[in-house]
Amino acid sequence: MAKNEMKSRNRMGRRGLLKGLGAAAAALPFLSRMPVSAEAATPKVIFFGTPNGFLVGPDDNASRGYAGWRPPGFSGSEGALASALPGVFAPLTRHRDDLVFVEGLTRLGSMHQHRVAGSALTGRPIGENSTRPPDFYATGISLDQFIAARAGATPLTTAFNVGSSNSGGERYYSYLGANRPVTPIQNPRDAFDRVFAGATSDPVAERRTIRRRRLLDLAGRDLATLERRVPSADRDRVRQHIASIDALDRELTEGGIGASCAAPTRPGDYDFLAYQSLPQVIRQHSAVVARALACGYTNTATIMCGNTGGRNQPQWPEYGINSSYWDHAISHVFQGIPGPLSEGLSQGEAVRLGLAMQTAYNDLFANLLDELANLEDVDGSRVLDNTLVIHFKGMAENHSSDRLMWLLAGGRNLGVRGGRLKVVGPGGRGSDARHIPDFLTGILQTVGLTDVDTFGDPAFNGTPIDFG
Amino acid sequence: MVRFCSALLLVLTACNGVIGDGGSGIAAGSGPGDRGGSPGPTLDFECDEGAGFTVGHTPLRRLTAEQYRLTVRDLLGVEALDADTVRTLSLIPDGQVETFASTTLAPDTENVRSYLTLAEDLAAGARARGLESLVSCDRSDEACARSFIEDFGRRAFRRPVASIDGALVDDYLALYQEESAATDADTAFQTLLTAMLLSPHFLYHAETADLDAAVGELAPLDGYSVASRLSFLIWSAGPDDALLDAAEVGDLSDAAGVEEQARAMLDDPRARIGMRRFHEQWLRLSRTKGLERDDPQWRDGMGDTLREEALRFVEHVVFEGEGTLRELFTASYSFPGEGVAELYGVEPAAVPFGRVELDPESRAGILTQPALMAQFGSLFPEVHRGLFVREQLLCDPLPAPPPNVVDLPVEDRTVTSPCSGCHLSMDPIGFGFAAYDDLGRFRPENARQGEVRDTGRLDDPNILGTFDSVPELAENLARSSDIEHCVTVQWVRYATGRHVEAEDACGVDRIEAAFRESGGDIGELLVAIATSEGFRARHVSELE
Repeated sequence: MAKNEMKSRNRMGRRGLLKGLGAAAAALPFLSRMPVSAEAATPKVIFFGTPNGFLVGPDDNASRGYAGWRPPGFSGSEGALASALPGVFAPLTRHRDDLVFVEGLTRLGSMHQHRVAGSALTGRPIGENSTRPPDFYATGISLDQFIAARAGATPLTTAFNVGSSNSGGERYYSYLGANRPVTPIQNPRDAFDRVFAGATSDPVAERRTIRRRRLLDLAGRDLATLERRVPSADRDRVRQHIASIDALDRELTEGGIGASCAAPTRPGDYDFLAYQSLPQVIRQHSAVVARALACGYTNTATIMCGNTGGRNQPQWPEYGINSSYWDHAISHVFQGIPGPLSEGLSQGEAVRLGLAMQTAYNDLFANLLDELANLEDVDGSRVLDNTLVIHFKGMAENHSSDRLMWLLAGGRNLGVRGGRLKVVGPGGRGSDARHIPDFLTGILQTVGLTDVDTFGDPAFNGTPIDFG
Repeated sequence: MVRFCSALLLVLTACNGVIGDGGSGIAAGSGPGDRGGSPGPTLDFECDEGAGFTVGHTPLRRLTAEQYRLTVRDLLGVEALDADTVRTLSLIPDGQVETFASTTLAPDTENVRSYLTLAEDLAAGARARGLESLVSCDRSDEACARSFIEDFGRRAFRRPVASIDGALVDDYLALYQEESAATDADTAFQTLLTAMLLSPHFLYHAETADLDAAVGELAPLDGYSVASRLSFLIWSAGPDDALLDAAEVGDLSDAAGVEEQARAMLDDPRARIGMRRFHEQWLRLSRTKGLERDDPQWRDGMGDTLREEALRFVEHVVFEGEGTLRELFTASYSFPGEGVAELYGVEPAAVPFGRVELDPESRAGILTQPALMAQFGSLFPEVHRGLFVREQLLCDPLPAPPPNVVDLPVEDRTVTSPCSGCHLSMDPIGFGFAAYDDLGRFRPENARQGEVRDTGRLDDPNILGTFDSVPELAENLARSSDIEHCVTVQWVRYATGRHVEAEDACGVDRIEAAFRESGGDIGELLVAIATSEGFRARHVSELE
């Protein structure tokens, strides 16, 4: 081979490298936003994750003064919801007919409850890490990424402050694959810009985009050089970095949906990581996500209200809470089990704070449903009717994650019958347990991906849950 | 209600029966040096001079947030790190190896976006402050640009740019030319700076080893890679020009040269920063950040004050004091910040963080400092304190607690199976701290006799048995070979950003021996790590 040829081959850019990624590249979405149909509404999915559990459990706890989600006298495996939803679920009453309470889910195996973050949307156990610091990651792709990839799209992954240290894998729900967590967008303005950036005639902005693409191109070339320097065991990670650069470059190239979609107000500049910002951040993420789905930017999105363990302090005066205790500590004491950093918190106060917190999360979830209900899809129906919206949690009461309850909303046009409570399993670990993958596979089949019989770890797949 | 164990109870399977089978701090593996980090057979392995020497695999890592911050500070000046930059940096999470930050995951799209934003903001800031401080030549001159690429690039990439790839300088020069043609020279320089801060050669700890020069299973790292390892170990930031010069002329090609540099670096004020970073992570001092206490002696922001006290104490011990592990654990003085002397019950120093003398009957170095006691809280303190000693000081990790646990009285926790399996190995140690409340105040009326009842792994006669006070425990720990081993392991983890593997066992033994021979001198421990074969080489199998 001529020397020049050798040099040329060695210095191929990241596009050339991507061609060599084989199976890894095959799993990559090809567009930063999905193709849009003018006639048929696309099925959509949003995952709305909140920390810890709903706390209240299925039934009334009259002695402690709060209600569960089951209607009075409920028995059996299915029934109608109360006309006015009780207790912490009251904010959802206006969406009662679009809701399915799915009770009795079981997490995977004996996995630690804080690790559910990595399995909730992947349906797979997390990677083993015997050490105490919670640096753990999922072992497969998450459902949001899977559904988006099938449509050639990229999910919109957003969150309120998930922490930067000491929270490890609790920061992530969305995964591109094993050990490939997707960092959520935490600044609502960044999420807005991602979706609504459009073609511009501003020469300064144009020059900025050209410059950014040039910078990414150079970084990609540097990575190609780096790839040759590092041991073979590290090369996959270098290629993943190249893929991330390529995805950002595509995003810059294609832009958002710009003027083709009525945008909400662009979020301002504020401390989006401050504890008191959670309600504002989640509402702004919700507004962007709803329109991103309505306008065909993508078909899946995730909104995380902090990390799974709840390392945020609920300082939300609009919900009657201003506490310096962590969400997680409050959840512990709620159940009468003092936990880390819960010194001085009485159970009575924890119940008050916990109920207010759960009410707030449900109100923010209801707000997301409002956004979806108020937008019209291409088929003339509400976007909510073509969207499955799942309010999920990694835990049930306190640390119990064997009796999970997840809330499904929307999807009327996809065959979901709302206004119901479904008890899908006993919630234990017996042979009749219904594990998280049954829920996830049920979602897949409901959005029309009926060729997929199982999702996640086959050992925990039984019969997909039917939401019809 | 089903009653299990308290908030920190442990997986049933791993803690049943004999306690503390693990404890070397070295991860289990299949190699000949496996000392067993978990239950299972422990292989004997003689680390003779003639034994084949090997080293564990060091994965490609990115700069941690703290390394990024400190390296940028050295490159662009402390004023480069404004609030926006710090916030953007916080959006790129670090991974962890035990309690140490180490990031091995590939950056995803959002991380790349944050890196891009950071690089743009840092470069824009540098321009706003005046590029003259970075570029002294005529910025419209292409030769000036080339010189900048070579000089700044050498520091940013921690090796000569041309040594990475012969065409790299030209690649960056082409960027300058394009941008200069489209805009102006200053914008072109700003763009160059952005590109370099976005480059993987800046963001990664990328090392070069010479397979052709391999001896046995070890391929020596080149001087620049050794310079980087040294620099991040001792300064927690990238190498300066002098260190890169030393690498260039071959002064880091043998242990003697590395030792000379390491000693000089330890005398540099930047070593204080590195020392703080290690101890902050090892002793989990960041847990005091944002800490709140409902206590009349608690002041706003006191968590930060407590952490600063602990770090100043560490600095003093290492750089002004004896510099030994013994002093770290047994010294009866400290440097309390505002309002903290009252917690000790002593008169405050003339200035915040001034030295005060403490009662040696009740105070023992870092172990009784409020920063440690406060991070454990007042709920089940015996569990958390005992666990800290087990995991952080003795490298004897215990499994995570099982799900669905509830409180159980102390007596049941340490007597009733299966909880007692693990709790017996930590609660009795924690009982010995009972005289200290959750702010580290000495309250002897709360005390009860402490006892380490481990009958398993802890065969060190200095640790076994009862202790009547924390100073007594500290004395025992300071004399213990177990803690010397654990501190060695913790520093090697920090130095390499990875778990210590079975393949590292002999290397760790040698470092530990040097540490012991020095009388537990922490500076000497760093020199021993820096000069060790494992620190200056990679395993050949990684390169083939």
